[in-house]
Amino acid sequence: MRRQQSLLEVFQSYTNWEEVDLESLWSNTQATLYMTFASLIAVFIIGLVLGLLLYETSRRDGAFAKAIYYFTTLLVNVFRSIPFIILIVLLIPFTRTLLGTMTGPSAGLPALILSAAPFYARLVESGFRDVDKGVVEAAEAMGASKLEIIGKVLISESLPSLVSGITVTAISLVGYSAIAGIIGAGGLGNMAYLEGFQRGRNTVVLVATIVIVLIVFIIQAIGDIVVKRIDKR
Amino acid sequence: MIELKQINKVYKTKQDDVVALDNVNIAIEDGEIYGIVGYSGAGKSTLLRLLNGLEKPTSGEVSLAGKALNTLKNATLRKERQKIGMIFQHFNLLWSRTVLENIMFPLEIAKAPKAKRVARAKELIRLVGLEGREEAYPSQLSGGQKQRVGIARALANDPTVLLCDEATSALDPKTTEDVLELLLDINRKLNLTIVLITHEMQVIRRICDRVAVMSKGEVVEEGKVSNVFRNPEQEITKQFIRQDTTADSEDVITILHELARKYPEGKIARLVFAGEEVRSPFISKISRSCNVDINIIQGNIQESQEDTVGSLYVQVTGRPEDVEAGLKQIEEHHIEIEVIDYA
Repeated sequence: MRRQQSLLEVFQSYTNWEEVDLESLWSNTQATLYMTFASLIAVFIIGLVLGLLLYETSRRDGAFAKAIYYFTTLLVNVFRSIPFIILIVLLIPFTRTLLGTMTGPSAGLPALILSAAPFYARLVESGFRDVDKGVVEAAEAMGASKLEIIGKVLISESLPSLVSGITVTAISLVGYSAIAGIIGAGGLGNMAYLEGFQRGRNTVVLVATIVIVLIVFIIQAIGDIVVKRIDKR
Repeated sequence: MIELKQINKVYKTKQDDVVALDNVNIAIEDGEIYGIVGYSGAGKSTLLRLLNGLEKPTSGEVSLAGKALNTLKNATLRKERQKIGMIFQHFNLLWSRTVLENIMFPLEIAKAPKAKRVARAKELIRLVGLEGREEAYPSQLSGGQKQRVGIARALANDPTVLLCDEATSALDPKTTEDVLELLLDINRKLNLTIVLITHEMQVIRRICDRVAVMSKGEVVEEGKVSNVFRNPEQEITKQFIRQDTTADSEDVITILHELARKYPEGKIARLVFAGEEVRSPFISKISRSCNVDINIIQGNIQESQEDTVGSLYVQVTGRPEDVEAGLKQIEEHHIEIEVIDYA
């Protein structure tokens, strides 16, 4: 029969530093960073386009615009409501066909992108909505084209919201990537679960956690600094 | 020359149709300052936006220097808009850009080369008196300074017309005065046609050559500012003029009530006079010739573009037939008179 551990022993089980394989820690950190930032780039682009589409079509009366708006909204809402763990399982066959594998960091990307892009699209849309209508009108009155208004007014004027939105999205992607890791995509989540929990190495779990927290803190700090620098309101 | 011919504008909503403009006809000469005054919802904002194609008329024609704006294709219309500056009540500057960059914005849209953009923007900064603030952001400026940036930005592409959408309504009286002075100055220097909308009659009086009074989508009165101030025809015009010429109206009304109670035999009247009459000593003349006493309750005199407009509250006392005769004589001096009955 297993002896009941005392609380002190539990604490001590988190400090067996020799359990931690630094090489594995480093490669898993890289895998997490790769998953987070590769998906973040795709999320930024897709989210911007979708967000713009939502913004532009929501204000129009035409039947075509309305149809696009409702379709996009539906898409966004559906993917936002699927729990990530289910989405990743749902996409396994798709990922396998697309990438020829269902393990490794790249295998996590489709699910990460599909779950975060609609979320970011909503943030982009609300960022654009917050741009002063008067400023858009002023640009129209100067003879600006649609494209110039998007580039020079909507995006420039909503840049702080776009940046703080991408910061929030990046942080949630770090979290998602850990879940993806458990399914087999590698990274710090995978390390904490397989190398740590499964083998009873609590210290490994703790170290993986600390690294994830550090990554999140750094992302948040960078985001805050950038927003502070560009926000002249 | 800007012409609006038989303009109608109807907004269709789910419930019913809202008529924003009802058979509006206006012709604005080159180089003049044309004011449109009306309460909110009178349709003046829609009217102004017809002039740069931000709104299209439901029917009728908008022509600018002989070109029909309302039929232009989008690309041509955008090109045309570069020659029509516009300033706004809330300035509508881009907060993400500095003063200099804001002024360069329309030049970017007009695809001017970088060196020319900077040179032109600096020139405009001098014109509007913002030297030293080039690198400031809008959030660091006062309201008056923001409107100066707005004006500089509107002038960037050498427009022939400047549209002002309640440009001074968000400013305090002193700043309003400065901005109006600047508008008058650029109108003279650049021979720029200015069309402005406002709900403040003092703006019209200070800088406009001609005025149109709007009510419920219609132009109810139009003419030279001095004529309209002297002989307003519509009740709404009189209201606007009164609002402008009556300082401390509440105090005045209290005093009027008080006097009407004390001297029920006399008559209290409000006189509005302009031009020559300002300089004639008509009060003492009438007082002597009709044997009445004239007591001045409140008065003021204000400058307009080309004229002086004064208003005066007086109490006329004496024998009833003398009072009647006195009032009649005042009218013969081409002074607008309104007998106030507070009894």
